[in-house]
Amino acid sequence: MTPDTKESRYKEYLEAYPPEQRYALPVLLDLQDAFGYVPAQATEDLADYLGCPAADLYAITTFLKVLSTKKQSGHVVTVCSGTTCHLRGKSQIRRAAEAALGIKLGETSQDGSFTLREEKCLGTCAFGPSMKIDDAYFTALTPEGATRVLERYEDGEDPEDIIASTPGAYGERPLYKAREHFDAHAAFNTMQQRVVLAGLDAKDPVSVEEYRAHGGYEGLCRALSMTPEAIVAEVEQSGIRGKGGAGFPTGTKWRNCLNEPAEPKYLICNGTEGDPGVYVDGPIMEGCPHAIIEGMAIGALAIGAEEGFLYVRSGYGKARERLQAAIDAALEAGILGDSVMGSGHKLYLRIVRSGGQYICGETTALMSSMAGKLPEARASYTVHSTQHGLFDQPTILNNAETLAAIPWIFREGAAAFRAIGTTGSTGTKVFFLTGRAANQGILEIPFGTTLRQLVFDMGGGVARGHSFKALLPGGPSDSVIPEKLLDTPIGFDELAQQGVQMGSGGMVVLDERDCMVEMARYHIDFLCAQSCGKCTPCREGLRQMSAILKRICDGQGRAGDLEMLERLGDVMTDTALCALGQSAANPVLSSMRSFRDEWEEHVRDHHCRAGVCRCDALSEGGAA
Amino acid sequence: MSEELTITIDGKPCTCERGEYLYDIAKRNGIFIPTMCRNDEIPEHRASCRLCIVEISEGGRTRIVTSCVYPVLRECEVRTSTERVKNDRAMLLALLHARAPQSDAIAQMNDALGDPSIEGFVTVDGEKCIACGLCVQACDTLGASAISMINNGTEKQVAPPFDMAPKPCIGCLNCARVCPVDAIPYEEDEYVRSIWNRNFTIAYCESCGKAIGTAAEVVHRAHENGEDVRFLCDDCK
Repeated sequence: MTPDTKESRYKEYLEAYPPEQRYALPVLLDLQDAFGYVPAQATEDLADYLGCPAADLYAITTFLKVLSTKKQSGHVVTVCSGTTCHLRGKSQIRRAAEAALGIKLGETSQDGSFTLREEKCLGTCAFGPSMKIDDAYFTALTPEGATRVLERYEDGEDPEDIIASTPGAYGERPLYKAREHFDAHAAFNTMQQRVVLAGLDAKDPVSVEEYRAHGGYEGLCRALSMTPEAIVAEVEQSGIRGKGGAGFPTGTKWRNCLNEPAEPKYLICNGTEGDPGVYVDGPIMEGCPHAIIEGMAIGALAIGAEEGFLYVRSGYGKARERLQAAIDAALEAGILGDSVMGSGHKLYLRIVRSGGQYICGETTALMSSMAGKLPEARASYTVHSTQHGLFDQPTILNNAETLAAIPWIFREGAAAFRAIGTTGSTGTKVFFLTGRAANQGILEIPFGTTLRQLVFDMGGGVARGHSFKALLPGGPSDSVIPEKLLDTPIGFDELAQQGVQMGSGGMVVLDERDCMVEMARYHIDFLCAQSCGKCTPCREGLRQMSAILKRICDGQGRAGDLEMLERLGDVMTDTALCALGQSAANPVLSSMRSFRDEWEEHVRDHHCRAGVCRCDALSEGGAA
Repeated sequence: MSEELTITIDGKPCTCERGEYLYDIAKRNGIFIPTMCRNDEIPEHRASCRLCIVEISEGGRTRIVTSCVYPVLRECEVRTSTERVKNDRAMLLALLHARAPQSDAIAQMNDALGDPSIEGFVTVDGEKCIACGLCVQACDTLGASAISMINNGTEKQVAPPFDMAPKPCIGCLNCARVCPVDAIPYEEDEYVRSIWNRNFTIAYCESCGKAIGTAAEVVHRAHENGEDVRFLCDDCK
């Protein structure tokens, strides 16, 4: 269906894309950027243009937190509610902002001059607590500092002056370097082994010349001399496993897709990490865009794909900018395009903005979203994305970090890659160390490094005068790691043997100031807001867990609450539709396993040993 | 090119075609599995309520699967009411009952298959809908794609766009008809049907006088089939 005689106000935004449903999300995001919301009329017009129901588009708009049906006007103030900012007092920052602006979270002031919202997370973990005002970042904030900054905005001062005169303020998001300057702990740098992050120190990460000067695109050259079969065999021999968390052997995935007869085939780079406190793919996409492009080109050769997509989280503006510039440079250099390095193989890569929610990274939800539909998980026991993936075609979906490691394998050889790491987990893993760690930032270690080495030798432990309590690997649905497991070598199987998951690369360190119960509550509330809400156990189980946890943290815990949480958690794990739902109870179940005393104190004595929960105040007041 | 297999459900040998869903095989063999979100008229199952879980032993592994979307590919042994299944299902019913305290259908199933010891859940007061999504599927496949599942997570619900009377709606009533908990309200007399804040004129067969749905529906179906609009019932066409 094409737009009829009715002239659309929103025409230029719609017609920037072909009239196919797969462009629904890109147009909606453009409309949001341009108008501060997705107007009802624009939704109607877009439905006419794409030939899809307005109800479908409205469903997407209300599903994704980055889209809004209500106008957000004026300065958009975003308080970071990521894990580290949460630990460092984001609630006080939020309250200060609410007081200064006279509005609550999610509201726009009456005169339309400010909109207040929160986001998990802004990707400034090492510098938090943080707040973003329009495009500017204010880090290491105190409530007073936040109030001062907002008052200056209210007075109409020039934002550039405010940024220039505020310590910890940046015009755009501060980037991470591969080597941080922690003088007291040289180990942060020396213990790293850089396969993926090799390019992070590049002067110009977008430059093809600079990338090639360090061996870039040599791997692709080698792959061009190989058959698809040999390429896949090389990946299999390297032993590399998916770095997004699940650890599925990458070679097997490529082999399955290679074996599929249907054409065309697609390749997707998953760069939509939506976990709070996990900031791994972001820096890789910003700092090593050519490594991802090269990895994708090798994957495309392996399966015979001519089109690849980079699915990048909406909030990662810098990553998109750099990836696009690197893609353009690669096209210019003849590395991508109608003939990859003169080989006659065709390959085009396109960036697709994701909605950025946690569920958006789940395979079936991701592919549904890329097809212009709701990012809901789909129940399927037999259909795999390597067979029926994007647009129902055979598709490889790899995490950005996985793809960025592929060029190294082809340059140095599978055997060299295998020589790094452990038998079951070869190569390296990138982590983002944050929370209470003395040294924070992005680092890359060979598999087999112990958690203790990561936290204490590289991370410098926790601040003087404090004591280590627990480690939260990966995202909100991963397990809590207590002190006694710190000598476990980092590896998929090694961690699984201890009942914990590798996760996607977040490593949040907690010390005695942090409450395990409150932390579980934080993660459950995150999941309540991020789950797709499709199946009963995830949607309703999280609702009840959240209510019980709120009660416990408010000093109103009842006998039987812990048992009920366990029972709920077991049923969610047993019966939820997708991997997110099946692991949604992990933050509660694993924390209760390792820190049972602390949980019981909350319920039995209404006491929070970390002094985080309001238990004590309330129980003194006589609350049951 | 179908291939026959024999599987066991609750000890009973059942023949089936390879790829057939467990739920369908059980039903054909007279074995009852409770469900809320499954409907024969809707070809694609959302598998959202999870009540049709069963325990399956296959290839040396025993696990819980959702029978409405689990295709049988090899010989297996299925049990529809082990302790684990009953326990999980009871919890799911308690969750649905707390979410939709106004639903009699859920309350009855919870009385029959639930566990009274599960109590103290917060309830969504006044709610009848269990967010299974059948109405939206019915609207997409049998109606005019007027409604959808909006929001996400615990806020998920059914609504027309922008909470306004949905323009594409044809008043066909398929949404309300497939709803397993009667959560979609509508009213009608001999002239007008009201649903989703819209009023539709009831149409009658010009030949025999039988009610044939709403006028909007007759027009919609005619357009869909590329036919002229005729107010006739199937018998009189």
